[in-house]
Amino acid sequence: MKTLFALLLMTTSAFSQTVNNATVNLQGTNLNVSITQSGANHSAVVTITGVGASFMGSQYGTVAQSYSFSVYCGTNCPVNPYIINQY
Amino acid sequence: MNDIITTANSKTAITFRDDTKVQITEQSKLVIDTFVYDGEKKTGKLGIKMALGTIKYASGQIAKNDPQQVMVETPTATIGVRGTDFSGTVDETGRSTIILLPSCPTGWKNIDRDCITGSISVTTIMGTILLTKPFEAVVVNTVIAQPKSAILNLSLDQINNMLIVTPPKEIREEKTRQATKGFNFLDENALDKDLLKYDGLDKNALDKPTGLERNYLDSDFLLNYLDIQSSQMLGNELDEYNGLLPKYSKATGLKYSVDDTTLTLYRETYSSYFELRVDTTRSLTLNINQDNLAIKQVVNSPGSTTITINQSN
Repeated sequence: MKTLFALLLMTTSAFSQTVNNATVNLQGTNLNVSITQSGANHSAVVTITGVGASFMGSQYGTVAQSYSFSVYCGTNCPVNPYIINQY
Repeated sequence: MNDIITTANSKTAITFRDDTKVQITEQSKLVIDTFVYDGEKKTGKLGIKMALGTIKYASGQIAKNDPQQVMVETPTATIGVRGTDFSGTVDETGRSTIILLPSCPTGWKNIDRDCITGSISVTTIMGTILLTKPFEAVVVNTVIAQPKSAILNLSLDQINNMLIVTPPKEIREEKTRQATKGFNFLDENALDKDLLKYDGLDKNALDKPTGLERNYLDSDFLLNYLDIQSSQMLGNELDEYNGLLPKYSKATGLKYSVDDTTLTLYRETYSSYFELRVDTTRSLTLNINQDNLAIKQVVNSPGSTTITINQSN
């Protein structure tokens, strides 16, 4: 059974109403990235080295945004490294 | 009968005696061929020809009681209406886009629960297709095209917004020009134009857009959903030769750049932006759902990797 791998959960601000969270989960044959943004003008970049893919989700203005990014990678899903930059 | 309705800068609507309603957008032309109605029997005959523009049609008593007697024609297709609503758009080339719409009562909240969807048939020389599902659509380019349907990922509000149209850019520019200065035909000097001038060789077809050429201000947030959906349905035969992004359609608002070995695909709306970078040698299928718009793009070939991006706010 594949293991569920949660790598990183970060919040960029101490203010509860301002959120910029990014998580990466390996779930079976899929690598799932989730980004949640509220407050204003956030960006999150997730780089998945083994898959050779980088994803950036950005929020313009104050409209809350959520992104889910899923890669089907079959039996060759990388466990790591995942690199997450938020700003 | 042959009554012709032509709109320029305003919309109009017709309610026939049998309660058939036709909304007509700006820059449209519609011909009412036949209208006969027996109010007691609630039967009759209705024939309409769409020459240009967009209409939204809602069935009345004739379509409900005697659907064979309602016929709507476009330059490339014939629509048989069986007691339902639809929208139809005809462009300057005669290309017809027909979308089956659910019939919803005033105050409806849920399409599945509150609305009824009938059916329409779309016929060309090559055959007939029956549309039965809400937002099922067909685009007919020519009378010899085999009609094929697809389900659009649209809401009724978005369909209604399509009825708000603007005239072509050239007409707007000409009107602005005439409004800002008194138009004088003598100002038009045909000899100033060099009809032999050819600048096709100035462009290098091998040039690909790079990251440095990206202009973040060059975003068209007011996309035409019909163009997007139809371009995805039809594809573009010329783009088949673009090996990196087969059937790429600029109309989707999805943009790309290529730097060395990296392909960057990006799309932005007024409130969100995403960017995906992958190796140019990688084969994958990309499914994007952004602001309720579904886009599918293959990189190189479908391959075994699927990437799905969902954005919501």
